[in-house]
Order: sequence, then structure tokens, then C-alpha cells
Amino acid sequence: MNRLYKMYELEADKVNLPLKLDYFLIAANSDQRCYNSLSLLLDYNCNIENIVLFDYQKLRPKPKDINGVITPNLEILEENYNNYKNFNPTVNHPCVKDDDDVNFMATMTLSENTQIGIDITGFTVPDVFRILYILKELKKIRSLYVYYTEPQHYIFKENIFNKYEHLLGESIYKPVPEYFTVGSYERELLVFFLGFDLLRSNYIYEKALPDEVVVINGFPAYIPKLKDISLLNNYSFLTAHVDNGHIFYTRANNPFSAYNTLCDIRGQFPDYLLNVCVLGTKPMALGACLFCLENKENVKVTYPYPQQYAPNTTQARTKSWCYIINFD
Amino acid sequence: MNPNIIDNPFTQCTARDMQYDEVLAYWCDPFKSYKLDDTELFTSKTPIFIEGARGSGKTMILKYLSYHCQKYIALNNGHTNLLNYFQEKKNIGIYLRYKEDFVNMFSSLACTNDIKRMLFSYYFELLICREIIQIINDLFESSVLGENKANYLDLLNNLSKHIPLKLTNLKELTDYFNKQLMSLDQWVKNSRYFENSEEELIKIVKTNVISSIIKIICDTIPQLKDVLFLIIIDEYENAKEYQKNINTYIKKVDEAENITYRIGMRIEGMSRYDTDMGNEILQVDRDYLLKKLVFRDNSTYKLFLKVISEKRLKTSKFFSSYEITDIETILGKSEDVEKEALDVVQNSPYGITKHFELLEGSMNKKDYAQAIQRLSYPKNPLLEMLNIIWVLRGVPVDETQKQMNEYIAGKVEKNSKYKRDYVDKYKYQLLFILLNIYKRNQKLKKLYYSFNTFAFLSTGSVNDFISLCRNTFYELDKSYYDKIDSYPMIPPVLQTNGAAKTAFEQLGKIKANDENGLQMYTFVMNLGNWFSQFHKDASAKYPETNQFAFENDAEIESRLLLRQCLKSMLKWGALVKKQKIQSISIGRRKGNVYYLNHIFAPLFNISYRIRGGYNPVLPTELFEQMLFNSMEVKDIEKYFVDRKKDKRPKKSMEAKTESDEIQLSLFGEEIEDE
Repeated sequence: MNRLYKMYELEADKVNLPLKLDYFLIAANSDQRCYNSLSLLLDYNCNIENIVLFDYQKLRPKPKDINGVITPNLEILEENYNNYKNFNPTVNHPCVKDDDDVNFMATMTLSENTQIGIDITGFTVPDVFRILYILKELKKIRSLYVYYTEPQHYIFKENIFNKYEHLLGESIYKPVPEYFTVGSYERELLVFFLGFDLLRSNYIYEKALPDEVVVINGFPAYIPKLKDISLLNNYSFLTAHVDNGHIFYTRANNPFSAYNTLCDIRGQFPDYLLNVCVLGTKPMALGACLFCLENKENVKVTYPYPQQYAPNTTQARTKSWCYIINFD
Repeated sequence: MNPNIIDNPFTQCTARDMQYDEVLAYWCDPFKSYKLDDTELFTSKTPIFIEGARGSGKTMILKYLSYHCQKYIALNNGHTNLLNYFQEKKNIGIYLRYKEDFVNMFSSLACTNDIKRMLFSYYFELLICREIIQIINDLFESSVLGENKANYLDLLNNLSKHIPLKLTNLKELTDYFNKQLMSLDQWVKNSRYFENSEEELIKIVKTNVISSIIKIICDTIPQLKDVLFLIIIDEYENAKEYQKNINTYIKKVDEAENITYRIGMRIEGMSRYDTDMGNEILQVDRDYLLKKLVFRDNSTYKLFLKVISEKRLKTSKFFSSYEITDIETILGKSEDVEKEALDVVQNSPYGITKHFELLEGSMNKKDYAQAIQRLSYPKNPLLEMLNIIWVLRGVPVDETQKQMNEYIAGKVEKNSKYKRDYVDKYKYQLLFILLNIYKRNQKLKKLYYSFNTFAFLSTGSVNDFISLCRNTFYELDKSYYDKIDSYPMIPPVLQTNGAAKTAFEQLGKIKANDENGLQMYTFVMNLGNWFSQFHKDASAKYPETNQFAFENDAEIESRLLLRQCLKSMLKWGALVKKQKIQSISIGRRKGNVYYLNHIFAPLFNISYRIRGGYNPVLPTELFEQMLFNSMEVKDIEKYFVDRKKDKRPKKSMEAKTESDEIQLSLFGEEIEDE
């Protein structure tokens, strides 16, 4: 089925902004981008009845990282994290365990016509998948406004591209339970959205044990060099395990582009269970999530859950986007 | 020559990547090389565990045992009636691989452990049964249906009694199993969101499906009456706490039934022996046989690598067109350490006698100048280094010169100490010392190249050898391809780059591992840096040290975290435990000795050879520190200052007792050399 998609740049396209939202979901994060869309909506007089804040323990800045290294600028990070207080959230839900967020959401009274906005900037990728599952599958929400703010720069330690670290420490590679599938397929295709973390792709490959692999890289990226950085940092994985014809590209800030790419891949590999693993951008994760929600029986979603998430891997911001999602 | 059209024959690294036809295409009979009886693997009714290190070939062997590979063999040999073929063969292998993400999923479920175990077992049963039915269907399709139609219909009839379906063909049964699997998937997705989810699961789950299905098959189809169904489970270690479920199936293997198991697992992959049958545990040689994938000897291993490499090179259009299919031709037979030393010295801007400065502090100017004159042999700086060591140990310059001259002239006695020291003990170590002396003037690293070296670096892992070759071949450029006719050997520098990349990749995999990955990484770094220091020691007191032992194995075993970390390091190949118990160091008790996986040697500029003699013995406290803290070498060595019995200063090497010499030579049999 062909559908038109809608995405708007917030600051450039105010006429398409919602006038009213019943709920706005946001995750606290020391990355200041995560509050930008909410701030803009309020500035543009959007009437938001309830701001629901998810306060994830795992995303709070820690005094030391998993390697025992003292977190630089801890006070600033904590101040950034706590900026959510400026928005007086109606609900401030602490999330100590991984599934505290969805357990809470399962209790929320939502109907199919509830107007919901969610800024995915501050959430982790698996959380985006799980929250959208709840909204679509359990709450039967028909449409959704999803917001995202692009970073201006990524922070590479010592300015060396292969020293980027977002996922810290050991990982546990496992499925997102809401997207777990064994199903009728005997063969599995790993659909891997490239990220910047060095050697993480090799690790995932070793754990996933797929029959085939395809990778999806962000292009055009937020800034031109990022496409090459992801290829560089995944070089050994690409050369060892990926055929030339199995590298796909999708716009880094457009979830619908990611969705379409996955449709193409589905068409090329009709007899495979798709194992979708997203280390790329949040819009890519959103697109992958929409695809997975529509193809529940022949996809699974996996992720290398880290011991710790690095508190601040980007600097400044550029555009904020609104993606209008229709689940019909 | 356009390098873009040249393929890399080593890109398909692992059997896990391969389809069944590819397994056969790359198959090189390993059974003679390993101490493994293929007949036993195919026919033994006793379950068999195949234990092997990462990359040792377990998956290759297990896939080979499977129906799909054996089917290809049958068809290639002209057997079109598969039903009759497997009747004669008397076994059918059903292959299942446990993926870690599947098992890790269970930790996310919010239900009781009993429910989780029930779910795990039913998934297992359904996956195996689906595969069995597909195989049976395949067998019927290949046979003359007219002859077997009655059996086919009987089978459908008998199977229908077992499931709530009236079957008209076997595909419907496959569809039924698929629907059951989808029901389980749906339960997993939603279990936390609806009440009474556990009761819902109990309604779905059935038990003993595998044994029932196999019994019906064997009772109904005469050709399969005596066929043994081998349920092949690969990556058993991934099943983790659910090994207990699998153990129960293994324990229940009955002589009267046509089912048995072939289990592939890594070293230390078995984390539990218990079953669901009360206090019953799995016992080796009673409930199962344990076969370790170990090559008969180093020569056998190298021969096996040559055969595998040849097969791969022959599939490469480029290399086969040039008839270059011998890996030794491409990598070189073995390292030429003397040439390497000569290159280092001759290319140094500080002249060719810098290493003689080691003697400067121990003699006056005149004697020093004479010593240089008498001990020099510019054609071989390694001999010069040995001379320096000898003089530092108190042997007079005259005597050293005499020994050197006799050696050069080929007039040494059979048991000449000079010859033994040079050829057997110190030659390789001397190169490390030389590199350390000259590196200040050049960016100098030890070169790691040649077939022999790669064989050693791979530490018995075929997969690692293939990775070394793969990464090396990726280093090739136009300058190599243009000269391949005249000089097919890949330059040592490129091979060293490939080796370093492989080492770095392996280290990265270890670090990202969810089983004590960070501790493994930290320990490897600490140990590697420490060994590197031994290699730089100009006195060559403990040449090529790359092994160690623990002061107190029992204490480590009793402490959960230390035991787990050690187990992880063995399982994931960061460390290797020597097969035989031996003296843990000179004059010490017998015990376990470990070494750093040789694949890491290029990262730390250390030897990959296994030597006897001195081994550092780690106190438990130090082991713990090395797991959790990045340490400077001097901080590691502080642990030994108080423990050192022998506190002789460097120069008094001449006081080395005769007994030390004997003990060193006793360990000489451990040396694995070119």
C-alpha cells in the first residue's frame, strides 16, 4: 500500500503544528536537544495537557563511567538533565528497571483518538520500540506526533573518529521482547543499521549468527562526513561479513526513508526472518519500528544492551522535526 | 592489473556463515587430524559432546553430520532415492543452533522460572520436530512415491492421532508446528501485558513431542525402523541456565529409542550438569562421551591448514589462474629472524654497534673497544647479541669469541652450549632485545609473517588462521599484484599489518563480551604489557616468557567472580590452558599452566612460541588486581619483590647453578619451533 508521509521542520513550518496534545512523552537526558521540541511547541502556544517525563536511572549522569573514568563536566551534565523541571511535568515517572516505562504506560488511560506527542531524542533505541508497541498494539492509538532534534556535532574522544563511544562496557545482546519472533522462518537476515561504536557490529554479528547480513548506512547524513565515519568504524565487519551488494542507504533524518528501505530489503529476501538491529540515528530507529509494527510475524528486533550509556555524545543542535505517524 | 576484480579467498571465515552446500565445498576431512572417530559420531547411541575452542571446527563437523550435508553427498554420488540411502546409512542428523539472543530473551520475561523453562523446552521441541518433518517429507519426495504411498498415508494417519488435525500431507504438519511457534512468539510479546498469561502458556505447551514423533516415524516407515536420529545441538554454551533442560533430554536417552544427541560446545561451555530428574546429573562416560577437538600434533595442524588454504585458493579465479595455491608460497615458509635483525641494524642511523653499548658500563674504554672488535659479526647481529649476553653473564670475551668462531665455521661439538643457546634458547628473544634497543631511532615492531608464524598465532583455531589470511589479503595492493609472477610472497610488513588487525578485532570482541568482557580485556592488556617487558630484558633472563600459573588454583576456584572470569577467558579464547599438568615454574610444584592466546602476540610484540622454564606465578591478589585495574608493569612486579628468592644482580649471571641449567633443558621439550 502506498502512503504519503508527512514530516515538518518545527521552526520552519509552524502552520502544521498541532494546536493541542493530550500527552507529551519525553525522556530526561543530559543532552539538551531532548527538550528542544517541547520548548518550541510551548513557545508556539501548543496546548499540552500532560507532560509525561520518563526519568531513566540508566540515563542519569554518573560520577564515573563504567571504566572508572571520572565524568568530565558532571555538574553541567546534571544541570542539563534536570532542566526537565523547567517544564513542570505533570507526571514524573522514575524508571529504575528497564520495563518500568512500559509497565507504567500500560496503566495509562489512552484511547485511539488521544492526541499524543513523543520526543524520541532522549529515549534509547529499545525504549522507542517498546513505547511505540504499547501505543499501537495495546492502546490502539491511531496517530502520533513524533519529534526529534538533530545534533550539530558528535563528540569523538581526542577528535579521533574511531574513539566514539555511546554504548559503554559489556553488552547483553538480546531481543526487544515485544518484537521477539522465531516464527516459521528457518533462515535469518541480520538487518544492521550502522552506528559509530567501533567493533560493536562485529560483536553483534558474533551473537546474532545470521544466515545473511545487510547493512543500512545513513546517507545523506546530518553532515557529510558522518556517512564515512560509520563505514570506517565498521570496516572490519563490512569486509569480513557483508557482500558489496548488501549495503543500503537511507536518509539519516527521515524515518520513512528507513521504512521504505526495509520494504525493499523485505522484497529481496522474502524467505528470511528479518533481525533488525539499529545502532544508527533515532529517525532510522523510528522508521524501523514502524516497519516492524506492520510486519510483526516476520521480523524481530535486537539490541546490544550496554552496561551504561555515555551521558553526552553530541554537541549543540540543528533542526527539530515533527513526523506525523498514522497507524491506520 | 585491476585489484578490484581480485577476490579474497578467505572472506567466508566460519562454518556458521555457510550454507550446507558451502560446508561441503570447503570441507577438508578433519577426522584424521583430530583424535576423532567419524564412525562413532554417526552411529554411537550414547550422546556425544564435542568440545573445542573458538574456531576449532565444531560447527563444520556438526553441520557435516546433518541430514542436509549428507543429502548433498548422496546426490553427488548418484543416490537419488534418499529414503533407501539413509536406510543404509542408519542415521539422520537434525541440526539446531542455539543463538545467544534467543536465550537472553528469557531474562526479559516477567514470569516464573518454571514457566520460562517450560517455554524453552517447548520451543526446542517444536524447532526439532519441524525440522524432522521437513526431512521426512524430503525423503518421501526423493523416493518413488508409488512404492511408499501406503507408508506415507499410514504416517499421516498416525501423526494425526497425535495432533488436533486431520493431515492430508506432511506440509500441513510443518504448518501446524509453525503456528505453534507463532503462538509462543505471541505469548512472549504480550505476556507482561495480560493477566493469567502463565495459564495461557500452559494450555499451549505440549511435552515429549520429539520422542513421540520419532517413534511414530520409525514404527510406520520400514526403511527408517533402525535409523538413529541424531539431534545435533550447536553452541550448547549459549543455552546457559537452560542447559538443565537439554541435559534432561540427554539423560533420558534410551537404548530402545531411536534418538541420541550430538552437542557442540566451547571449552568450559558446560555450566551445569543437573537435570529435571531429581538429583540425577549428567556424568561423562556414563550418560555421554566427551570428545575434545585437539589436533594430534602441531605438524598435523599445519598440514590441515595447508589443505584448507589450498582449497580456498583454488576457488579463487585470480590465484588459481596464476597457479599459486600453496599458502606457504604466498606467506613464506617461516620467519627469517636473522634477516630481520640485519635489516634493523643496517637501517639504523646510529650505526651498527649500538647494541654493544650494553657492555659499556661493565668494562673500561680499552676493553670495551676490544670487545666490540672481537665479538662483532656484522652479518648476523643476533650472534653479536648472544655474545653480549654471554659476556654480561661473566664468560670472558676470549672464550665467547672462540665459541662464536667455531659456530660460524661449523666446527662446534654436538652439545655445544653456544649452539644450544643460540639455536634453541635465545635466538628469537635476541631479536626482541635488538628491536627494543633500536626502536628509539625507528618505528620498530616485530614482524609477524610466514605460514609457520600464522599457524602459531592461530593457536589451534582454524577460524583464526583464516582471519589472519583474510586480513592480510585485504592489505594487498597493485604493487603486489603486478609482481606476483616473480614474487608471490606477500611482503612481511603487510602480513604483520594483517596479523595486528586480527589481534585487534579479537581483543575488541572480548571487550564487548557480556561475560566479564571488561575484566577479560583488562587482564589481557595487563598480562600482555607485562610479558612485553620480559621480552625487552637485555639480560634475557627469562626468554620469551608468555606463560603463567596461579599461586593458588584452589583459592581462585573458591571465589565465584575470579572463577567466572577465568572460565570466561578460557571459554572465549583469551587464555589457553596447557593440556598437560606440568611444573608451574622452575623448581615448583606441578599444576595448570596458562598462556595468552598467541593471536595477541602482535599487539604486545611478544613471542608466540611455547617455552618451558620460568613462568610468573600469580598470587590471587595480583590476579584480582589485574582483572579490575589497568596496571603499570612496575606495579605488577612489586608483587614479586618480596617473593623473589633469587635477588642476584644482573651481572652475576655466572653464578647460575648447574641445576638451573638442567632444569631449563628439562623444559626444552616444551619448545615448539620451526
